[in-house]
Amino acid sequence: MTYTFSAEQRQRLINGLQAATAIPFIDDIEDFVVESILAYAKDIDIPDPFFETRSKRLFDVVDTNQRVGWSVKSLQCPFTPLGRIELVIQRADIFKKAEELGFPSLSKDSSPADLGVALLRHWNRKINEDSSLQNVSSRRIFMLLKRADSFEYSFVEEDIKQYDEDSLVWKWTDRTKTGLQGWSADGRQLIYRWYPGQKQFFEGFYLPAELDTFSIHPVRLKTAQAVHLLLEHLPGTGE
Amino acid sequence: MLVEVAQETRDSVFTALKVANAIPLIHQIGGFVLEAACAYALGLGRPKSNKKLFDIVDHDTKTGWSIKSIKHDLHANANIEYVIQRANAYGKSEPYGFGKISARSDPQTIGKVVLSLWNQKVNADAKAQGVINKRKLILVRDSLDNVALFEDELSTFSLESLTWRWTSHGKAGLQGLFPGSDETVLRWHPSGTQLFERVCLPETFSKVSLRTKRLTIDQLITKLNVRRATK
Repeated sequence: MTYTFSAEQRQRLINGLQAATAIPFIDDIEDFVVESILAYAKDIDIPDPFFETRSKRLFDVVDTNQRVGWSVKSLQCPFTPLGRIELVIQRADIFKKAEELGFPSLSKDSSPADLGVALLRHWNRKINEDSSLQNVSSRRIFMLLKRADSFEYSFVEEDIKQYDEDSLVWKWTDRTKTGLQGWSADGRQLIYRWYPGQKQFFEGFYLPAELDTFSIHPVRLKTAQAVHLLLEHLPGTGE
Repeated sequence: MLVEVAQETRDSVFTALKVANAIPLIHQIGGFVLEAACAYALGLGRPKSNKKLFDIVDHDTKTGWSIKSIKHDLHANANIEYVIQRANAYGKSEPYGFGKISARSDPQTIGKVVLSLWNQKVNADAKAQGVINKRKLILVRDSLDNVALFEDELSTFSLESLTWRWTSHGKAGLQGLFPGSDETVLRWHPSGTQLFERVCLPETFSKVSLRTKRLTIDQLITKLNVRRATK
């Protein structure tokens, strides 16, 4: 399921991004910057990493009242409606965990189907364990997309998809076995990609036809301006 | 020798860091935040992200600063170690004329390869970045958000200047010391190929608390007047 933002949430997202692009101490719109802006857009209080250790769990932002969790991703890419993007979703060392995944002798020489099932078990276990630990019942992914050559952004919020072990078709990209692909049964959608060398597990996302895009008009402050603007509002540090 | 940065510069860096600390989109003081604060204090433009050694460069004076942020207790004469390079000495010894080396090689030879890799990095990046005066700036931050700021020349080493020895029989760490002293200057770990430098904090220095109230994003947007700029 895909979710849409209310007009107010959308405006708060844009305002948050506009503020981030103005701050001369921020060099990229990624990671905690995006997490905190999403939380702001959704009007959710999240732990401040200055005072609490950031969780390494799947859900970067959690609405504890509604039990909604978001895995937050940002990607610079040339996005288009109905286009496809790919994101790293997990570091999946399935050889190290072969036994607990039910394939004690798993290796690159195992069948692609076995490797694929091991990957799905590894990923599904992460989703289920972290949902339980973070008390999340609605498991979602939020993706902020940014074009490299302009200040156009888009975003997608949808449920995290979980696939049954027998629902995908797995094959190596080529004979060198550097990349394993997981395709939908009808062969039309490339869902997952895994690289045994780096252990990175990628998911492919097909963007909706009605892709919500917007532009930010960056007004980048000089550091001296930001210091001047903000310092006078800090207690005990007024100029 | 590490010394405290001059007060005026130090105060400007700390002011900028206090402001950064109040911004609710920033989750830690280090990396680009610190580089931007130092560039501001030194009257330089916005730092450009790069993978080179010198994080900020004053092109007029041809001075480059490598900037580090280190979490450590702030007490007089504390020894602090931090990574300065990934130095794959076993894999890259041959271009420096040492042939193929391994953990079984003479520690002095391994050490010379480590120094060669470091010197090469410093000199190559100084040339590429137009830097003649090579400096380092080190922000040390304790667990209570007190900070102090130090600087020193960024050193290269003549290959004979250090004596090398393994820290244990397992050969997990190789120490470079000044000859005849017990003072570790560099430490290299073959497994992660990381080269550490050790510095000693001065006898006296001042520290400042960066603790400040965090703004909310709503407050930030209001103060930056973002709404008017947004279409």
